[in-house]
Amino acid sequence: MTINKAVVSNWEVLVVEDEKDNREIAFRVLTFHGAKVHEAEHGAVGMALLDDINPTFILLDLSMPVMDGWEMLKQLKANPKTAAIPVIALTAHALVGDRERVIEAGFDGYISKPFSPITFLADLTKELPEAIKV
Amino acid sequence: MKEAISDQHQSKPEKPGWFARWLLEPLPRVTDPGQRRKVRLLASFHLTNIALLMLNILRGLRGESHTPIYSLLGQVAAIIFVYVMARAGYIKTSSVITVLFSMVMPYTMLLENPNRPAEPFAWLALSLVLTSALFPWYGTVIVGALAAGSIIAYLNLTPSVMFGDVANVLMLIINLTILTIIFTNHRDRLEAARQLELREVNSQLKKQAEQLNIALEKAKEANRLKSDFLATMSHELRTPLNAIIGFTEIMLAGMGGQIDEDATHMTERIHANSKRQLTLINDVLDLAKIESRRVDIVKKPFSLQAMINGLVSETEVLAKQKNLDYQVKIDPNLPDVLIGDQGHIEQVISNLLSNAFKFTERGHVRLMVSRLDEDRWTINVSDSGVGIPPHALEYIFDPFRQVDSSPERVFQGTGLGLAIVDELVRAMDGTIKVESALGRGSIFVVSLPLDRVTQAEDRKVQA
Repeated sequence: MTINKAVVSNWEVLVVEDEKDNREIAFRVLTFHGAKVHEAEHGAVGMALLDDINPTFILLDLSMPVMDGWEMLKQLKANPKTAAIPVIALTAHALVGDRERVIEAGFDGYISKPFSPITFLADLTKELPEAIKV
Repeated sequence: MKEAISDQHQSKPEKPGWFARWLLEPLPRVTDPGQRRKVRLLASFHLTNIALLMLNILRGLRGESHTPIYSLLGQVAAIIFVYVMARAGYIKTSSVITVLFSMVMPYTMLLENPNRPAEPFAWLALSLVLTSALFPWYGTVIVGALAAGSIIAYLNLTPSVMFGDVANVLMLIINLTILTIIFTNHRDRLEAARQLELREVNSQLKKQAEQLNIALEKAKEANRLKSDFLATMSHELRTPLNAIIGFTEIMLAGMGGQIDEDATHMTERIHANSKRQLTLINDVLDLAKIESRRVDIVKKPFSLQAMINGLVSETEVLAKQKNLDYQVKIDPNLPDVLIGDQGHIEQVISNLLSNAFKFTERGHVRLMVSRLDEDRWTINVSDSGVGIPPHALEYIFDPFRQVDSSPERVFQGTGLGLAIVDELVRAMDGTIKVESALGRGSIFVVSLPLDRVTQAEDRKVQA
């Protein structure tokens, strides 16, 4: 999977994840490749941020305090302003059937934690809709 | 259980009277040897008594006078009889003493006046005490009937052979009745004891079932707690480690700015050791899951050929690194699709292959797949590596046991790989065997049942 640097540098990504270290790793990898990254430690903070930003896509952890990923997805899809933003699920439960569960709920893709910084971008690109990759 | 007991009570037919039972029912079968001896003793003493009474009657009929000695023998037999009855628990000790006194008293009278027929009186006294001690109502009736005749005989004051014989005949009837009552009474006691025992066994069974249920619930709860603990632990242990690995990878990829050679070396060591630690944690959790039987064997159609191709392309690098001859031989008749647990089979082969490469410095590593019989396939992983010493073959599949467990050992690893392989193979109803010669290599042979899909299912999978 080749990554188009020019494309990535146009990305504006919202990372919603409660674990600070995971957030930082995602932040460092994405900014290294040129993307602009916004961070939120849970769904409510993420929703508040969306009043001001219009990200290319959202990386959304599933289990979080205050507002989890499932609830935030519901709110995103309910709002016409945010309904079209692709949402990729981040989850530590790499179990059989997880992908089906996540896609069925309305997520656009799925990345299981821990993600490797080296392959992160390639894995992410596979999950993203075609429109974003060009 | 309670219902069962009351059911038995309800279904039991109404008890016939003792006489009907004496007439109709068979005598009890006593199984307990002690009880049998008691009943036999009771019966034999009573029969002796009956025999002596009949002898008296016979003598009376022949016109011979009563001889005290015969009556005395009868009384001795009666005393022994009463004693045995008391020992068997049929009469109270106080009754025994009364009986003995009542039997001795008439003989003192007889000695005072030999013409007075003391015997009926003696028998009356004996019967009165015996029957009232043993049998509440019918005993009194019998004795009452006898009493009238006996008292008349006593008041008559003259020896009357015929009258004595009437008393003897009556006593014979009483003796026979008592004998019967002893048996029926004995049977009732046995029956009651059996019922009691049955009830006790029932309640004990009920108690055991309850205890078993409680134990089962406790075990389920403990297992649930263990599962929860495992899930939490696996997450808690892996999270910080993954952060360590993630950050070192960022450093090594240069995403966090350039670092010098020395720092790179140290970061590499942190990365390698963290990876090792992660493998160890994963292995321990895997084994714990397998041992707590949380491994679900999910059988689905899959391609063994495709899986092996994937594994070979992953491990080819290892063969090249050590310049080993890597041979893969697959039975040409291997069906495209078999039914089995793909993930676990892959884990088994991958573990065996990584062991083979780890312990082989020169020569070859071979992977062979062949048919054992209709539905069983063998996966054979062999190498020309260091081999396993004979004593170690015994514990090679035990967890945490390694051939070389010294701190300076050459080969690193958790010592869990083969334990996991063994548990997985067994969970899949397969077998694993190992052959090895020290310094010459090892052969691991796994045989697994892998069903073929039917033609219809075959098409479905391909579609």
